[in-house]
Amino acid sequence: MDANTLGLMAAGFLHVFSPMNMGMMILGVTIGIVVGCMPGLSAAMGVALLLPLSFGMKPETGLIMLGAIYCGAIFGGSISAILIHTPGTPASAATAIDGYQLTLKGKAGKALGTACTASFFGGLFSCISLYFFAPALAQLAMKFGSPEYFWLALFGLTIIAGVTSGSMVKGLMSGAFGLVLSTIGMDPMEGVERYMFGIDALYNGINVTCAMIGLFSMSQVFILIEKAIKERGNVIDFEDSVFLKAKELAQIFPHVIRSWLIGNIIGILPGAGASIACFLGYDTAKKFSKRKDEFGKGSIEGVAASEAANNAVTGGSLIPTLTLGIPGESVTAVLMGGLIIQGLQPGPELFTKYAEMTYTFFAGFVITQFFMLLIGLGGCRLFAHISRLSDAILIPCVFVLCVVGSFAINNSFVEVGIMFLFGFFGYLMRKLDLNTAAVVLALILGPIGERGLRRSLTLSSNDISILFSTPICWILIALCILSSFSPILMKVLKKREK
Amino acid sequence: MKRTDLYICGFMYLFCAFFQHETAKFPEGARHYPYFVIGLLFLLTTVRLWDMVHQYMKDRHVINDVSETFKGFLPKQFWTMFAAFIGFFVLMYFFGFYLASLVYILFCLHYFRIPKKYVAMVLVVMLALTYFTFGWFLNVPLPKGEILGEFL
Repeated sequence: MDANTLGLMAAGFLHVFSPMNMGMMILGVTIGIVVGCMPGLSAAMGVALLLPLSFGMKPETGLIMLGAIYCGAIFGGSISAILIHTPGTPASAATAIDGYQLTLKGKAGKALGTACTASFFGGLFSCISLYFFAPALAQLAMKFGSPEYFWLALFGLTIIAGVTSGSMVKGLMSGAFGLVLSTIGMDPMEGVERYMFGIDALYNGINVTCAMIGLFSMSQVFILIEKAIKERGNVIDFEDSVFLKAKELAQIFPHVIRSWLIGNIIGILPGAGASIACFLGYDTAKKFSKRKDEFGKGSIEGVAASEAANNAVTGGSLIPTLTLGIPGESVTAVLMGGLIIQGLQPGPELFTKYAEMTYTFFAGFVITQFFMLLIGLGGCRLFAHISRLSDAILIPCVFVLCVVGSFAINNSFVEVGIMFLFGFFGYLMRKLDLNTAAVVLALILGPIGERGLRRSLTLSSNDISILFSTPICWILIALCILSSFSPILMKVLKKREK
Repeated sequence: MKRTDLYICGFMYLFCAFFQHETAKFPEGARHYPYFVIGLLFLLTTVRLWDMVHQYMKDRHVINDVSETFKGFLPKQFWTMFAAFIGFFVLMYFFGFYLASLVYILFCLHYFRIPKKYVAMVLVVMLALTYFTFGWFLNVPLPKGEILGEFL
């Protein structure tokens, strides 16, 4: 790490302590925990819904707020997992196993304290890789030309195969569906209107923010209105302290370190996410623990391992998003949307031209972890009651926020219509096992891939060999192949294991 | 072979056909890329269909999973809420955002039988939140409505 980078890191910490940045961190973490602790809402949905709030802010402030919502939501999911045995987000599914058992034993405070402390360390340590790997990867991206960007976009799209939990072909179909939708708007090379049907608002293509609000937030409203409103379980009042003793901290610390490494690597790998990390962290802790028999019956080690792993994903997942423009999961796709809204393109420029802003955001991400610890420990009793908020109240509130958020993008009703349409499509896609995150990935990466491909062909007078002309192209082609066939490889390996 | 997968394939083919038809109207140079992505979707849909046919040849059975997919679906509640969404858009267009929100939230909470004290709380919180965040902080000119806007 050179002196210039160290200087930028220091400057980042100086800039981050402005009242506006601090205020947005507190607001973001609080909103994130509230969103995360409500079982009807997800982290991606929360970030998408509140994306329009970042319009009027400086880029770094907006990103700090969105990052704080992300971290807060991942931790927030553990509150309802521990208290009412319903994970607020899929990332806390493993936390529910031991967290709820602790609650039944009258140790809910201990479980919440463990979750919050482990989340803090997981998130804080994940910033280390963000500081060290992101600039290095961005330097590599500086060598990218049009052909490399085409393959990079394709690599991002093949990740869909890995992201998809059900049928791989259906996941890829969702991506291709998104790719077709990404061609709507003005042709970037020929200046021809494509599928605009006289709607001027589609000149720059489908607004990705509208699509994200629709696919993640509005679709959730449709999911909530189709079934009878569920009664939430009662929150058990707890009297025990949320603060851990030194002995307990020493007990969970090795698991936190192990889960941090697991979560961080999973976060960096595009396609995997916090929901996988929490189970891997939990299983590994069980294997290495001296108190294996306590797992499943109320172990603070289990809670800590799961929570450290899912929060360690946050910093790691930002690395491919910010440096290569490959959002590996839905939340980072939405965060990347926030970046694009601010007129910034992920890639090397974030570490050269906009380095000051990027390092302020990184510093904000570090400080956010401290606010998460303070707000989480101090407010978990209040958040516990919020987690019981009825879906009947959430439905109109989320819908109104979806409408006002999409309207605020261009002060236009067309965007509201697009959001609603995508919301309905998103609902049907979720019901039919298609992948909404794949559509978002395709909407973001489609134009990058198209520009890369067409520019390359223009430069080479339509000679296709330009796409295979550099070693980086070949590395990316190999990654595309590996990524496409990874689910098949995994199946074969699992069969052999059996 | 699942029935819902058949519907998905049918929809994707129709989608491809529509976009292919529209692409044919473009000048030569602008057609290649759209044809490439439409072709990709067509190919993947065909792979899926081939998979399904292969499965059907094995067990000669079409699973009707529509009822399973929409298990617990309450048509009256869903379509009433859907109509309320549309009603909200119409109200917002003619009478502005705040009035539409007020009527819509009142209707929803009444429909779900939420106690009156919570209704008042939700109304105050939501309207204040949107006013201070979007109207005041972000300076977004929220719609005043075609009719109400004339008087404001």
